[in-house]
Amino acid sequence: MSEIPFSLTWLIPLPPLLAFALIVLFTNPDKKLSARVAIFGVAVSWVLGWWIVLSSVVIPHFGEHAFRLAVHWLPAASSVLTVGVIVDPVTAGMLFMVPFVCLMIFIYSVGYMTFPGHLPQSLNVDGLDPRYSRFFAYISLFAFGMLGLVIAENLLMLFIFWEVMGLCSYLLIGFWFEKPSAYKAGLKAFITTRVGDTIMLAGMVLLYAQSGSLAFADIFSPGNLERLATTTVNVPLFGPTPWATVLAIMIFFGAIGKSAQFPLHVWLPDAMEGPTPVSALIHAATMVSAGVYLMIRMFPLVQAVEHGPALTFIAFIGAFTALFAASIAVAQNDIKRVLAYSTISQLGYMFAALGIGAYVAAVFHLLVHSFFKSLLFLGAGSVIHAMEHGHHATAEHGDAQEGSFDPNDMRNMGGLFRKMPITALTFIAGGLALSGFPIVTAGFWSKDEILADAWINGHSIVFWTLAFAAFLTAFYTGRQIFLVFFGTPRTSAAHHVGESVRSMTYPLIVLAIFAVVGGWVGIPEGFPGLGHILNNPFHHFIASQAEALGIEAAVLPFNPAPVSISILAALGGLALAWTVYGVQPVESRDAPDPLERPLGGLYRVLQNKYYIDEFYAATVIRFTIWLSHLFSRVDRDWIIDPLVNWVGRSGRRLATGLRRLVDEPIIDGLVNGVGSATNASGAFLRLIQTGRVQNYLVVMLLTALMLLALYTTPGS
Amino acid sequence: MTTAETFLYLSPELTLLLVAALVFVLDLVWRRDPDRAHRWLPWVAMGGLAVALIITVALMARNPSAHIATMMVIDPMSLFFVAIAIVGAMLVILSALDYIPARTPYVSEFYALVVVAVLAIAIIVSANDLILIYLGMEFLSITSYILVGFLKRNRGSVEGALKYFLYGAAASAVMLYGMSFLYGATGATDLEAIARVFSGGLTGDLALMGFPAIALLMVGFGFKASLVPFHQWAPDAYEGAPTPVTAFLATASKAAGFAIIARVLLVGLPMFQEKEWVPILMGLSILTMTLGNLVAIQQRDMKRLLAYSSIAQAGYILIGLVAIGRDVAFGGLSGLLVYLFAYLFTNIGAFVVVIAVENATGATDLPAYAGLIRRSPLLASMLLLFLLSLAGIPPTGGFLGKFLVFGAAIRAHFLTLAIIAIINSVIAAFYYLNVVRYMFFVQPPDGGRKAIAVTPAIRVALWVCAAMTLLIGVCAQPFVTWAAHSASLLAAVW
Amino acid sequence: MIPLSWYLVVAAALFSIGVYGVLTRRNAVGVLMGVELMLNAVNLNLVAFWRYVTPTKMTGQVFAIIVITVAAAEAAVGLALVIAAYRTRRTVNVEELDTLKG
Repeated sequence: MSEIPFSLTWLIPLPPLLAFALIVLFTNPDKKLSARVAIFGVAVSWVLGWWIVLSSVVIPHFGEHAFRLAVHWLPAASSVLTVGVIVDPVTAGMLFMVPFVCLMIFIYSVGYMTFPGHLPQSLNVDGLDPRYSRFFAYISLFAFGMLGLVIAENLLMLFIFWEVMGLCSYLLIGFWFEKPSAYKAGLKAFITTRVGDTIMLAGMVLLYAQSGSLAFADIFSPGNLERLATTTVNVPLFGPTPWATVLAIMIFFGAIGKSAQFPLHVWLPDAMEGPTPVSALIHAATMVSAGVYLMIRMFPLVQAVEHGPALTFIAFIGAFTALFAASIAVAQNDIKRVLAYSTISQLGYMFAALGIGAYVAAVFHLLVHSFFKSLLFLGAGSVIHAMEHGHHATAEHGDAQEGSFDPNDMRNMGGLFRKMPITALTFIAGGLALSGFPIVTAGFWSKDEILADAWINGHSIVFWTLAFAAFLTAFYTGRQIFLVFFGTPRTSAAHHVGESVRSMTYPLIVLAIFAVVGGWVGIPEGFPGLGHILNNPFHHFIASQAEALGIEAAVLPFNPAPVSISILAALGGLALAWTVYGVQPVESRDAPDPLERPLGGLYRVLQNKYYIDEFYAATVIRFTIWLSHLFSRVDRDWIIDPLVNWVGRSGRRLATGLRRLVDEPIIDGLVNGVGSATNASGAFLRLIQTGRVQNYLVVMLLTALMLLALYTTPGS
Repeated sequence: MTTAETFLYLSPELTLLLVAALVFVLDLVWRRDPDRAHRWLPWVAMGGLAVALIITVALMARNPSAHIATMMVIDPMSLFFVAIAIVGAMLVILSALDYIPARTPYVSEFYALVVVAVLAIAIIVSANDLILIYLGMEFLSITSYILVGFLKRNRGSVEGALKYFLYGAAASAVMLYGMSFLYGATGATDLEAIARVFSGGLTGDLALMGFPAIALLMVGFGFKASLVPFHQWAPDAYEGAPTPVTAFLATASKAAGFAIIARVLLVGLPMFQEKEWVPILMGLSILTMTLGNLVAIQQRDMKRLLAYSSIAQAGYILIGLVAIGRDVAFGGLSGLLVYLFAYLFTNIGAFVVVIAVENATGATDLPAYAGLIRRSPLLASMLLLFLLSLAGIPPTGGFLGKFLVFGAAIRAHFLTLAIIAIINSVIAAFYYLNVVRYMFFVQPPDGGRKAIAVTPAIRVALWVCAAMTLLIGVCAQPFVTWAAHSASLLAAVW
Repeated sequence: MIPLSWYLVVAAALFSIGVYGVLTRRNAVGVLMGVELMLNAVNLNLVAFWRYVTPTKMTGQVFAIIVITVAAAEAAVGLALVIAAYRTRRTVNVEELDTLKG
């Protein structure tokens, strides 16, 4: 094979990094130029990336001779840590999606990042966000992180880029930090994902200790996997467990945090506080799917123990999250939050697919989902942007009727189809893809493959959970489309909206094409009529890698049952949405949701997201705050003041004791001295910085005394 | 060894001595023209340090293992620490160019004393005899007392210095008491002879006096490296001291503490490894990082926060000694060296930012950092980098150090220690992030209109620190090789 | 001849008295004097060990003399600091020098 494009792989992440540095250091004052630098950077990556993708798809059985290039970074133990790149079919798939979606979103941001409404208009100089350049710098840095992650050759590098993205995510969620909710959401995202990352890091350390290397090639060597699968470790409560299972589950926790799976999903809906392009880029298309990508990469380890608990655990978490998040999305009114829960739910699909061993289907859904979900978010952004403008227009005309206006609230919208047809049509295309509208959309093919796999391999619980989730997905998507685009405008702001600028609508159109066509490369070969037009090239491309790694990826026989159930779920959900929201549109923004009456108390539970946030606030967070209060009290109230006095007193007592040693009978003095010394050593344990040097010396000398006592007893 | 060779190997120390003397003398010569003295003397000191650095690096290339009598050993490890001290001192002088003249009329002495402190460190790190170890440590301590109390009209500076002095004097007396027992037990004061005597077996009176002697030595060494519970002077002295001095104490002076701990334990007392000093060091390490981090969370003053942070860092560094292994490439000792080297640039860099902010606003508390990103994007992004490195986030040097040290602990089967250290680094990320929050997300009181000016000297110091912090993390291999090589001879002796 | 242990006991007592002074004296100069007592205990130890363990080598004596010399230098710096403290704070009471804390 031709080496040239592959040996340039390491260049892919660099242009955005360079753009980041250029913007921060030089072009910062010129907003337009900064945006151009950022777009140019990611465009170079895109060209390089697609060149590599094209060079790899033409190679037959590419998965068996994947490209790997590594140089030594630093010596560690018996092996050497390397830095390097890897290009195999999964990487190629990601390289097809990531730089392209990034480029679309970068272009979209040029139009989107106008002056934000929450700032006083007096600061408005040029109609653009005051931190316009910084925004492009951050998203460039993010693109660097994501591109680096997909080509990383070992787990350590992957983790480094993983953290770069975490940092960018934190900075971008809190981008409009004048809003307290925004920077709180940033902190929440960072800390919640940290919980997962910490467990993952521990897993990586153990993996390193067990296999002596973090390079994927070494970890997945048959001998090493065999050893990890057969040697066991004693886990409390569970007894002896194979290392492979323990490690896979620990690493999966990193994915749970990053991909917002239950129970660490709480940060993602709040992350919608960030600018919408960020939500599209980071919190829908790329970063959150990095968790899925990680598990796809680690899949040989996950399935090292056949039908092991690691697989079951992942399938369970994935399927549960898929249903759980979909049900919450049904009752949300914020246009972006619906999409956020839908993202959580779809990521759950991918994990469920991995858990039942549907490797190719998971990759397929990951890629397809990124296209239509970024499309949906950008469409939502276009709507929000238009609503803000509409609100300003009404405010200027003096007939502003609402005190606080939420441009994200779907109850404020309605009938936008006529006002912004391009946005509406592309959004509907994305929505149909999300709900799996049969035959035409990409989402149908990818979802169908997961369901078919579950059905044929007999995972009936997973199958029915996912099928029901698919039904809910179609329903809330339909609900969203009807609430936003159909009926009549429910506020004067919605009357005054207009179509967005071209830099925003063009990316929508391009992404909409992919959201429909993208799925055709993965039509199952057995599908009547359509299957033999393209012969499912995607499956063969990815399966070549799966086989090289010893993963089962045979072509499944066609089975009409799951297909019809999946069609039924999609169409049924949409039809139900049409009956509830389409036939008789909601007329006023204050009218109750039509679902509120039939669902009763359940509706409120769903609207409040099963009270998970409240639950965490009452337990984990409360405990942490209590602990920190305790520490500060220990430090301030219990130690500094009373203890200082007490230590002072015991010091004086010690002094008295010693004086008596000279003045009074020895026994008497000795008793007092020992008593004082005991007091003082009790105080030592809690003594902290008092500002008095003699207290410090007491601590020092008592420590020395203790060490002496420990080490003078012969034989100790 | 011939006299010529002796002079050759002592040439870094001799250069430092001459430079210090030269600064003092020139100050006298130019006493009628203080402006001239203030303008040129820092550069005389810098030039002298640069010459000493070149000589040190040249000596390194000779890969020596030279004993000067039984008193000193010039080997790659001692040269490594000499280089650290010289580079640290140069950065400190750069950062002090505006700081010191703005606060006291006695400027030249400051530069001379910094050079003298480097000389003291150079003696400590190559000392191979209890007498010279004591002499060197006392030399460094006395110089440091003066440096901490350098602003003699400033209440904080003087209070910090007096406490530091009283604590240090008592600590060194305790250490000396331990040394006297070590001498009594072995009849020798040079480390290799002590090791020879102990290698005959730990029985009878010898062992009886050896064990307590080590415990008492730990007090003095712990004081120098500010290990909990011998750390309590540090926050007060660090807060009171002129900030450039704080930067010096927290890096170069602390590194010297670790150098001496390593040499005394590995060369002089290897017999006590299993039974005594590994458990002690492990306990100190856990206490040091835990207490340092927990108390740092409560701090509202940047200098004090960095003081506790550097206490906590000492806990991580100590892991390298606990987990010392015979596998040099990945041994704890070379990890410790890399950690100290990266930590030198990271921590001095952080303090340079503190100095720049202090020069502009006169304040060191956290609110002074509110909205720093708007008032000085350079300072804010630099501090962000240094805090990330302190928190051990890749691809910074701080990450590399932590990685090597924790990795060594895991390989040496100190799993609990490694886990405690990892938990601690998570706690630490919290207060580092809090500073970032102030810089990026908190509105400055004046709306951030007033930009902070950064002088060229500070700019140079910042860029050097930032470049090295990143370089160590990105191109790790040469630094790890260098550290492993520096550690190898000592490990071979051991 | 007087056994070695007698010297060591006297030195230990001297050291303890020094520690007592260091811990209880309010006056910084008093604390410094306590430290000097501790150092003298060390010197007593060193000289006793020299006499009983290695009477043929000078090490112990040299060590003791160096300790005495360094102690003098240390006292000079210490007293200078005490004077500086008195000038800025009007007190040499170590318990009142507690503004830096926490």
